[in-house]
This record gives sequence, C-alpha cells and structure tokens, in this order.
Amino acid sequence: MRRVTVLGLVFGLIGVPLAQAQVVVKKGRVRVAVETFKGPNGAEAAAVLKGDLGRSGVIEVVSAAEGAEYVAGGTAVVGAVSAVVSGATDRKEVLNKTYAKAWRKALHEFADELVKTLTGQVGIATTRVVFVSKRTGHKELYLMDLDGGDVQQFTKDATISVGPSISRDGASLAYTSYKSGYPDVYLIDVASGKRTRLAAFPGLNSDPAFSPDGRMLALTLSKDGNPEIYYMPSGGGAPTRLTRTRGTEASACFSPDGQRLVYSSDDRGAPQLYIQPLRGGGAERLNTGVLYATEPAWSPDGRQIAFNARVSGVFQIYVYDMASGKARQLTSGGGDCEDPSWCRDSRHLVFARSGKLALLDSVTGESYVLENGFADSSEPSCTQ
Amino acid sequence: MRMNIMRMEQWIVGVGCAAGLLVLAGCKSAQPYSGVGGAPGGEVDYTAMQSLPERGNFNPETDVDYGTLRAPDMNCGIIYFATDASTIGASERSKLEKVAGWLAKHPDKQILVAGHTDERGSLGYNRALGERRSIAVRDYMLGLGVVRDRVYTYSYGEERPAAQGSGEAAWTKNRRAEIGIVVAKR
Repeated sequence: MRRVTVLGLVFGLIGVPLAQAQVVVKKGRVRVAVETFKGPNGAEAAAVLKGDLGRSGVIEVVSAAEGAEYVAGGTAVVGAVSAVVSGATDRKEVLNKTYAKAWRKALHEFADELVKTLTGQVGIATTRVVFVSKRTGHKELYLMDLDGGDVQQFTKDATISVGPSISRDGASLAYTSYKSGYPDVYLIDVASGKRTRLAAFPGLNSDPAFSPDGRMLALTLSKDGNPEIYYMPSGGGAPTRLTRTRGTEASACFSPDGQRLVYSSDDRGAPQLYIQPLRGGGAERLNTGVLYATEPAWSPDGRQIAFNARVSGVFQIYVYDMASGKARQLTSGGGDCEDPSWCRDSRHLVFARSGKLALLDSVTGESYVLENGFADSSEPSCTQ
Repeated sequence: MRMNIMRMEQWIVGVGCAAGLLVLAGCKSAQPYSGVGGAPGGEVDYTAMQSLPERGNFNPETDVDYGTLRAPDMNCGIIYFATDASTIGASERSKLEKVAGWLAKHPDKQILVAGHTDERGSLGYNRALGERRSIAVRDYMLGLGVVRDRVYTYSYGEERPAAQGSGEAAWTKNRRAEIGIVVAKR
C-alpha cells in the first residue's frame, strides 16, 4: 500500500491526470480483473484467485469494464497452473509463472506473488490454519487453507485435543491432548505425522505457543502448585518458570524477537494482560482499558497485540497498539469473538465466532467467514 | 493459616478495588489496578505453595468413582464457584470437611479433584481456571490436615459441562470442581 501511495504522489507530481491517481490513493487498492482460466478447472481457479485477492485487503477485484489496472488469467489443470498478469491497457506482462502442483495450492502461491508484485505487500493466501472441531463428537485438530479449502484432519484420538499452535513455517504443531488420560502437551511433525509427548508433568500441561524461530514453546503448567507460565525447548527438555502468583496465568505468546512473553493473569481480579521478559525483570500490565482481557496474540511486526475482551457480557476482538499504548475494538455485535491469531501481513487476523472461523481486517474492521463446511470450529492458529 | 492469609488478601484487594472505584468516579483515567512494573504477584511470599504430587498409577478418565461422595447421604462431591473465581465459598466449606472426614476413615484411598468452568471465556483461560479451582480445593483439603499425595488435581476446562445450554441456570451448575475417589490401581 505504501508503494501505491508513493506511486500516486509521483504520478501527481509528473502530471498524470489527478483524478485517476486519487482513486488509487483513496482506496489504497490496486484494481485487478480476473479472467476465466483455460483448462478443466478454469472457472473454479478464477473463483479461488478472486477470493484470495479480495481477502488480501490491497487488491480490489473488478471487471475489465470497471477500470481494471491489471488483468490476471492463465491455464489451470489438476496438477499444474500457468498464470499471467498484464497491464489492462498496454497488455505488458508484469508476472508470468508456471506451478507444477495441485491447482488450488498453485493459485494461492500465485495470489501472493501477484500481491507482492503489484503492491509490495506480503500476501496471505498461502496461510495454513490449524483449528479444533468437534464434528466427530470429539474435539480433534484440522488444518485448512485460509480460504477454507484443502481441509485435513490431523488427529483421530477420540479424546480431547485442544489449544493448537502451528509454527510460523507450518512444519510443526503443538497442542494439548487428553489421550493418556491426562492433559499433556504434544508436538506433531506435520510432514511425517510423527507425534512426540513434550510435557506430562503432574497437573495441567496446556496451551503451548511456538517462539517465532520455532525453537521454544511457552506453555501453562501447574506442577509447582498453581497454573503458571513456563517456557521450554520445542525439542523437549526442562521447562523454565516465568511467573509466580496465586492467580491463574494462561495463554502465553512470544514477542516477535522471542525475548518476551505476553500472557493473561487474573491475580488481581478479572484477567488482564502482562508482558514479561524471559531473562529477568518484572511483569508489566498492559493498560488495555478493558476489565477482562485474555488470549493475547502479538503481531509479527511487533506493533500490535490482539486479544479477547469481554464487553457488556460479549467477547470481542481488540488490538492494543504498542506505540500509542491504546487499545481499540475491532469487532462488534452479538456472538462471541474469540482466539485471534495473526496472519503474516500483521494486518489480518483469524478468529472464531459462534463456531465459524472468520478473517478480520484490522485496518478496515471488515470480517469474512472462512467457509470450511464445519459448524463448530474454534481455536485457530495461523502460519506466518 | 493459609486460608486466613488468602482471606486477608481478598479483603485487601476488595478495599483496593473500592478505593480504585472511588478514584474512578472522580477521574476517568485512573486505573482500578495500579502497579505497572511489578510482577502480578507483587511482593507477597509464595514459598508456601506446594508442588503437586507425582501422577498416580490410574487413568483419571476411567478409574475415578464420582458417585460415592455425591450420594444423598454424603452430598459433598461437587463444589461450586462464582464466575471467574477459584475461592471456596462459605457454603462449600462444610462439604470439604465431610470429604476430609471420609478420607480419615478410608486411609488407603486417594481423591481426584476435577475442575470445570462454564462455557464463557476463552478456552485456554478456562483450562487454567479449571486447574486453579481444583488446586483451591486441594489447598483447602491440605489446610484441613489431608496429606498432599492423597489429593490429585485435574482440569477439564469447559469441555465437560454438567448442564447443557447457555444461560445463568446452566452456567451456575457448570462452574464446579467434582471430587471423585480413585478406585483402581494397576
């Protein structure tokens, strides 16, 4: 978006008709028309690409007649996609790529490259989301693409499988399972499906969260007599205790530099958010301005912390801005909004609302249901 | 002694909140909980906190009898809690005295305390809150003289509601700790 704004300024200075530049600057979005792709999956491919581009927040999908600046199209077959983006008027190619992989995956990659090429922004279409669903009667883990496609069931334990975290690169999942009869923390290697039990201490072992480099996990343990925040190597090893209170600590999340944790504690009444360095130093309470704050999620660029707030008995998603020290409400209305998880662009969040997963644009406040065919999804966690 | 300390803390927190509210009434930017920069626990000494016993040789999902202490003649197997709270209410304490009495008569038995929450609030917080409730019951039992390796803690969070549905009637029944007797040793 910054690039578009700069371009708009430059065009303005060199005398390109001002009205056109103003439209781009005002909307902050590049207008792209998507043609029906050739090949047996062509119509579906165009629909997938349109959805991806629309969710990016920086591309506006329009028809060629609506003043598109660029046109995207190509050929899609089962195991390959070739795609081209050209200027709408000069037909000059700005992107031309061929992908030898399943057509849906290929289009998500193409969507992200298109976003990068035309706006300079990082795309989110290749995001994978781990979430929990009870559709079998038991809570199990599933993975899906950000558009709700390619859903894959990951556990089949017929017990309670909850609180998943996916590593930034999508290679590992950590979660809590009651399969031993106790709530333990497990690690799954996504490629091989191999599962390792990482924490099985007396009491509760729950809510693991990966550090940005994937090497550490923050988690909640009660082994020392109270639910407290600890961190440990994600390859296994001894946990280090961070907090020491009489309250309930939960839902730890690493800072992007991996040096601090943000978590919720109800030690002084209703749960509030605290930031604490791993290597010494006290906890600092975030002045969120709400009386009940849980489930903090630190944006990958470090600038914001999203969280759950209870407002008038309903849960809403808020974001706390680190620079200004102020929080603002992003969602409103009925139906609890829970468990925000950032996408890699530090702009979009996936959250759960009344059993559906939704994508929230933290800039515009708009949200879209991510239709995955499930009525009871919860606890999403996104690759970044 | 520990419960006295806890009660005193609650009293202090209560007074602090009331003072905060008074300040709030006059000044909107004031914080009901001040103290940014300190640990959430402040300066209180928590060395009295007792680590949990090693897991027993039983499966909490299958090897626990919740019926005996819940039967009409005992009626002490379910401890109820206020919203987001883990303190043992005055009405619940006599139940725990009964449980302690039963344990005194059955010296070979151990109990499991399974903490539960209602459906409101985030799932992660509720898992920890369920454990906190279980530990509050355990701490109270230890205060009554029960030895530490006879009480196991456990949390189901909001996964196993006693009453289905949404609304205060169901939520009141679901904010609970269920006390069961460990029945099997393999």
